[in-house]
Amino acid sequence: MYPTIPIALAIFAVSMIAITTEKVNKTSAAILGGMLMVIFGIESQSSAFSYIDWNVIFLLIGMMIITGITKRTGLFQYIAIRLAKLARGEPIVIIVMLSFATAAISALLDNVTTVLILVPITFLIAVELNVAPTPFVISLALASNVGGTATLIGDPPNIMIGSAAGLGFADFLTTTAPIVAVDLVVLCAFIYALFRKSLVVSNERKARVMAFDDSKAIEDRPLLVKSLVVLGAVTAAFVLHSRLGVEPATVALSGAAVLLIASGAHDVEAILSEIEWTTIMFFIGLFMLVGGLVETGLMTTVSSSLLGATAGHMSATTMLVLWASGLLSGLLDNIPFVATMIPLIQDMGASLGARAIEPLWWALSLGACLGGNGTLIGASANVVSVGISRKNGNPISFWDFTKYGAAYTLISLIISSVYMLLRF
Amino acid sequence: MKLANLLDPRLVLLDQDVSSIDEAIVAGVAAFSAGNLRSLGRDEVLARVRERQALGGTVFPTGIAIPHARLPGFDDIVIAAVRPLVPIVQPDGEGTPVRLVWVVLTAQTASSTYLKVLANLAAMSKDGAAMDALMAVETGYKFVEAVEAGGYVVEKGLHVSDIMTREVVSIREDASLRELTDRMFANKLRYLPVVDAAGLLVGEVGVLDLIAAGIPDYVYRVGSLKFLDEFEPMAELLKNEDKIAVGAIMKPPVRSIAPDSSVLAVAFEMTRSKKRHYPVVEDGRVVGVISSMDILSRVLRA
Repeated sequence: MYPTIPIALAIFAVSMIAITTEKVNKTSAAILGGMLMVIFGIESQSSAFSYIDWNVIFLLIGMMIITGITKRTGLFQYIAIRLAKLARGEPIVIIVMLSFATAAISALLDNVTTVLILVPITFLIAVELNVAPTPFVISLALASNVGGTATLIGDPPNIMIGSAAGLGFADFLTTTAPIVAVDLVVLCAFIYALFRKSLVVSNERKARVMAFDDSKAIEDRPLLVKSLVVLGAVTAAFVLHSRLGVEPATVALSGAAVLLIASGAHDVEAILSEIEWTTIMFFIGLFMLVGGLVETGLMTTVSSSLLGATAGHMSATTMLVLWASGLLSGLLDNIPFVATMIPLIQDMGASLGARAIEPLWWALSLGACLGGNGTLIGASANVVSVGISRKNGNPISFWDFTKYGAAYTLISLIISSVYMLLRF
Repeated sequence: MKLANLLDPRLVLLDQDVSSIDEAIVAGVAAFSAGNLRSLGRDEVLARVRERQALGGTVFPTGIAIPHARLPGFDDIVIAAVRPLVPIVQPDGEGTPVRLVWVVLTAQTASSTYLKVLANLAAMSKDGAAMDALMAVETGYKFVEAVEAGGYVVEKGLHVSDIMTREVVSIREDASLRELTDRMFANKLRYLPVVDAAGLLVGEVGVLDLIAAGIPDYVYRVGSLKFLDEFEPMAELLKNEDKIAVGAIMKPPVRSIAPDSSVLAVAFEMTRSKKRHYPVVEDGRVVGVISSMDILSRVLRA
């Protein structure tokens, strides 16, 4: 018989180092880690597979399909141009409005997808205005992470937390969304204070932005109508899913199937090939990897000693989870972090009762999602936004991003702490 | 495929008593067996050869004649050789007397093999030693052996080197985009191979790569510029064309083609990759460029 705990810990540690440093492709590392847990007999194949949270996997796939079709319509470009014109070409107003739009779109769609669509059009607006694109890029990245925190489907950690804790879309809407609204207002004030003075634009440049013809931004009007109908119906179903007794993944996959059929002429094969299979496989690997650790009983030991350290004091534990996940998410990928924390908190729930530990789930959600703003590498949305900027001759260094990101993260974590203490 | 392997000793008629090309044709056509002619009647074949002969151009100044016919419903190449006892003097008394008459029958759609046969026969007639040997042999077998000794090869299929453009306009990788633009414009070329200081192929550049250099990356990501009426076209490119080197926008050569590659292989490669131009490379050097238009104008409508 193998000494299970040391072997499982070693597999977990090596895999996590590989995932964090990306010496090996992180998806490959996660899958191999999960398989090693099976090969070394830490968990059986069937139990490894049973740790995969299919609600998370299919919710992600469903939303990726809906997003993939909707982005073909030109809707998001239309929104960006419309807002730039509403702002009458005034750059600081454009940044604030686009940050709100980014947060709102991120609340419904994946953060990375949101910045992939909105950063390039914002870049174009900045170039046309002849102002530095950096404030636009940083603001959008921060806003997408904030917006994603608001809903069950806004950010992968929330999807995982919601599924594991049995928290529904409506729960997020009443718990994280209000504080996100506050965070967003603070973010806009933060951006306004920092960037207002550096953004001066000539009248002629403003006139160029006003000359954009937003009506031509819509690529496919019939598809746009169908996408909006499905997106609206899916959002409504999400709000009601707990009351209807339907799982979120069912809502997303049904919406995806309906939109695939409604899009008709569009090639189903092409749309499905755009699903980010690397991300999906990363999640699958991660669930199996963490599953191995759970199987050893190690999680129970750690959770009870954690509870011992805080003497079962719920407020203290909540603050610990919020700040630990907030700070660690700036340095680590928040997805594997949350995947590891979930069984830990579940174990605490086993000893304290599911109702009692609800604040911990919210602390994990707020910490992991908002913490991603802490550094340039804290969230995929940051890396992608800065990458687009660099490819267009406007490099943003690690510290350029991090000095704004870290300051804002600190502010948002303090706001979250106050909120958590007042609310629970 | 060797030329000699297309010949049959039984179709070699030595020292025939013929005094005109037409008599030689009659003798040659008479020699073909029923198997050679397939379902065609001998009279019909003779009529076809005479019909073609009337158009002229089958007598060569090197002292041979190649009367021939393209026959409907015929899918083969058969050759009869008629060596007159006395060289045939042309009716107008001009030119070299004809020492050897090759009667060639082929399919209506003359294959490239057939064209190569004609080219080989003409080449052999210019080879003094080979012609002397053919004049001296005493049997059909020896005649065929003499052809074989000449080493004449009928290749099946065209090679890239047969149809490529040999006057290659290339550009150095350290040249500026201004030079590239000027060279493409002056030569009306939409494709140039890129070479290094030593003249070795390092990449290729098309007019679309040049134009793409004038469109920023974020534009591709936005996906559409329909809403922009006043975007200054190519402003960035025109401003920077002296600063950007060809090496920065070129593509590495996807796959270089050897001069002895078959045209079919290149045609396949072009259609599969939707790429219209390929550099033809020998020992790392560009010896030619082959384009889809070369295939159109030198194969499909040669």
